[in-house]
Amino acid sequence: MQNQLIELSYAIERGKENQASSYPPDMKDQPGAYELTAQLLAENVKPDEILKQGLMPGMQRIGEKFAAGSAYIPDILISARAMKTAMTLLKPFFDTGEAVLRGTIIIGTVAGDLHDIGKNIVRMALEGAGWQVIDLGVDATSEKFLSALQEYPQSIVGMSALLTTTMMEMEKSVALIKDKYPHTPIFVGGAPLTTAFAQKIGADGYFPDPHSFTTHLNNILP
Amino acid sequence: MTSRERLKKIIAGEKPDRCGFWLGNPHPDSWQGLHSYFGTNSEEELRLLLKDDFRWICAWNVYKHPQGKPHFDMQRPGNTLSEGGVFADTDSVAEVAAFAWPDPQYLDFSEYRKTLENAGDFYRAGGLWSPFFHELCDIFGMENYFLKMYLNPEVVHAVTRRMIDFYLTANRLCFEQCGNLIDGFFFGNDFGSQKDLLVNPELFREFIFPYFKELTDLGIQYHKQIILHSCGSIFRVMADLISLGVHAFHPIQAKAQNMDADTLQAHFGGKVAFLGGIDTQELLVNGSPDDVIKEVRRIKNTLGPGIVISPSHEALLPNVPPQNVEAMAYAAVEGN
Repeated sequence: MQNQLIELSYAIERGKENQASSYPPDMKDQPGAYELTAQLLAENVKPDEILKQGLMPGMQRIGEKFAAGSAYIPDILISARAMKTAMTLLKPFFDTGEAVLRGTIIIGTVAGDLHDIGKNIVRMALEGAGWQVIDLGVDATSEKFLSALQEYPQSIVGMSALLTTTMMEMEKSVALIKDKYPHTPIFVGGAPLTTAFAQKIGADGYFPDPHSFTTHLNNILP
Repeated sequence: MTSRERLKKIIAGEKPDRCGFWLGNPHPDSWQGLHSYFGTNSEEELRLLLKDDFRWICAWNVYKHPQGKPHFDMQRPGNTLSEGGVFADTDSVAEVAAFAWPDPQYLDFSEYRKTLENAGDFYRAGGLWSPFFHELCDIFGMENYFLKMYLNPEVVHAVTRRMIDFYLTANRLCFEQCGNLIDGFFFGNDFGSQKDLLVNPELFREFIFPYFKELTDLGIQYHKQIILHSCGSIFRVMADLISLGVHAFHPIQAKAQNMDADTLQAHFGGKVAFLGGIDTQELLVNGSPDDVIKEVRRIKNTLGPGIVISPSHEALLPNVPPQNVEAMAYAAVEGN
């Protein structure tokens, strides 16, 4: 079983979705994340174990490579695609509560900003680290964050901005959220942001890349 | 030396009388504040006041379809970068061929030529913007585009081929009809993020460089200087891009990884010219005029004289104080 989990994590890291997938060429005709996950379930391996020891390590490794500059957005996308396919087999167990995700994170690109590449990569990294992600999309107003928090009150919040004009929207959103949900951790990211800016607006942290964000979350909420 | 002569020299790697300056292309919301501070009434009046050497005269509205259709009808339901367009779910080259690709008969450069004729003695950066990488992101959806590079390269090549064929035809017509009125072929694609390239260098070499080279070759054939716009960190492929014919890089996103003046000078000094470099992510927004002057002088010392001082993103946002714009312009043109 351990070898199959390792094989699954490798399929995720390489983005081998299923046996029919043409990518990566050097894994042609080999079983992909879908078949390996199905096989593990058929052998009564717990869905939690498949997630934590098969899927998440694969995403963790591609995330580490991305942070180190040896993998790029297409590599994250193809791994996330393989993971998403494998998760379709695990979803019923999470729906019934037989298996549980790590927690919930509400993310969005702040009001006035339509840039979503960074936010989407963060979403994939978070899902790859076993989090349920509520993605508010782009142009997410303070009201949207508050509304989502009303529905998922125990969540963590992540905000993204690309522009120096729209990053100021974060200050308003952070103040409103902290006023109503003072214990909700709020993290921010985006090209022009810095740790000093995050501190200034009362956020709980700034992360320059998805991997450092998920690593931090894993450390504070293992 | 006129502005036009100065910038031609800088971009050709020759010694000018001073560094160049380009205000950039301020965001529409920024102009009112700038005019109010400088006491100007028009864009050209402000550029003259600031001793701006560069005029970006892009051939934006030259595709005159009788029903007003754009040259590439993306058919996107929204405008975020990941939103897929007409080829979001396409896996067939035949489907690509069947698309209503633009018809060059609708290209009309007569108005564009008149604009160029009235440009004055300034460097004219022109041609079609030709942002094929962006448009591929739009027509597939960025994530689909990147995934298809791995999963369906034939379709990516087929769409890219069609787009580039249009831009080759359109730019050829443009250069033939506008002749020496254009000095530099200025075209743009944002290839980088804050930290690195958006796609792997290997994917660049397969899906982008061959087409990019066709565009640079065309510009060079018509004796244009090649100026590439790309935001973000493109350090990893700058040597390749220079070898493909780029004469100047814009906008030099100063805070992106490895895009600082010292690193660029160490690796590419004397091999290419730079247009930009004055940080818009922190300095121009939050710095003082003194900070700006010091930084412009430092950048000139590091990259000059082969530099056209300009914001590290051309679309100056309204949160940049006009005092900092004034400081940037002042320091750009002072001394040699």
